[in-house]
Amino acid sequence: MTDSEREYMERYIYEAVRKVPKRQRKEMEMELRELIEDMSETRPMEEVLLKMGSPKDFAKQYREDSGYIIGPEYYDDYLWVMKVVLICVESSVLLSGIIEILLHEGIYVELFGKLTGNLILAGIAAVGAVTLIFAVLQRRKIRVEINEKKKWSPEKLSPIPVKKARISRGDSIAGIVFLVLFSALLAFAPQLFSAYSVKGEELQYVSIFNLEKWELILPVFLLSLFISLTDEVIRLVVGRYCQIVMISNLIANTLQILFAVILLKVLPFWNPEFPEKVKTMYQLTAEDRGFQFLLKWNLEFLSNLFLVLICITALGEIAVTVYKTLRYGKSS
Amino acid sequence: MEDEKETLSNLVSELRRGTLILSVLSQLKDAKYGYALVQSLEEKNVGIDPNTLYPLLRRLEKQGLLNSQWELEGSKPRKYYKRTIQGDKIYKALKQHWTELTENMERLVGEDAR
Repeated sequence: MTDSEREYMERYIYEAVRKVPKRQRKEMEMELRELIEDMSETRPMEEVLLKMGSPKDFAKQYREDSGYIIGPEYYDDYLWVMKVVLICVESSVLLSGIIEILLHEGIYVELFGKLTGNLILAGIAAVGAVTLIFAVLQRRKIRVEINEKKKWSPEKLSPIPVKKARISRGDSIAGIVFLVLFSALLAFAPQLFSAYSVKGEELQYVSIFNLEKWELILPVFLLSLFISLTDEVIRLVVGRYCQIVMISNLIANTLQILFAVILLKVLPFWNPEFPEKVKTMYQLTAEDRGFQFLLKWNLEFLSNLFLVLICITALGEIAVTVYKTLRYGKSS
Repeated sequence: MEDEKETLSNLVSELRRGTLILSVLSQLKDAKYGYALVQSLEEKNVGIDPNTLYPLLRRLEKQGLLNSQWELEGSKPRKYYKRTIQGDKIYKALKQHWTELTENMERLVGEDAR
């Protein structure tokens, strides 16, 4: 074997070996070296490597794992959810961008650039989030299937869910659309959640959220919405009340309450100047009913109210899911 | 025409794929290293691509039909494969099936000749 032939062999081995999992590499390298050296005793290296085929294909045969993130059984749902989420995200980013451009007179180029950037960022984030959720589902499903594969019999076919055991696709979709729209608005246009007033030509607004601490609040907020989104996607994909749906729902709603406590009670969630500024903005006096209203509805009260509402919703949802699962979803 | 050729060659390789395991098992009563196995198959007009053979050997070893051993003495390290006792048993049974299969296939394909 000439030096240049040896060089080609090493290149081939290097290319092939790095495409298989680490634990297989050493063994594969030894095997390949043995084989190529043997083959090259009777013919030139070029011919040997041509016969072996491309290192990529060679390595592919060696791989033991499936080699995909989203398998065929999830692919349709994946594409579908992806479409819904992308449309929601991009349209709300577009909407908030247009509103921002209308509110700020002047440097349109800058705002336009920001909007373009946001559109790209939001698209990437949406694709990432949906892929992540489905990749996790895929892994779980693989494990579930391996367990079931051992002994399959026709009795294992779960009965067609009675109407009450089905989870309406429409509900799941409505949930997903709402969560995605809300997340996108929170991320790209939190100032939309404000009290507004028009003074002559000028539009005034006071944000209800604490935008100065927003970079601290937003991630927690989005994480909590992401958990709900995961729960909704699981409901959509499974499509019936069963153990997986119940467990996912229990976890998601428990976390929801936890996040609500963190957001509303630990983090400075509300804009502390909101009551004061609203008072100034609407020029309220002590006799006005609006002023009385603001006095009564202080931020502490608002936090508690929301917390109670969130707890009731979460517990209610858990109760419904557990009830329906136990009542109708036993067979699975 | 080109399409026809490609379809045919795909079908042929599909047909041969099922026979590979039996071919490989048949040659491994005594220990052989990879390339020696390729050669002994080629001598008998059974060609096999290395990129099919090596993963196949690995799979058969995992299923317990073959065992392998690195021979580190000699001019260079070589990995030798050999049928296990279980491999012998399976090989014998597979051979039985093969005989039946070929007889049945002969009959089926032979209908055309009549």
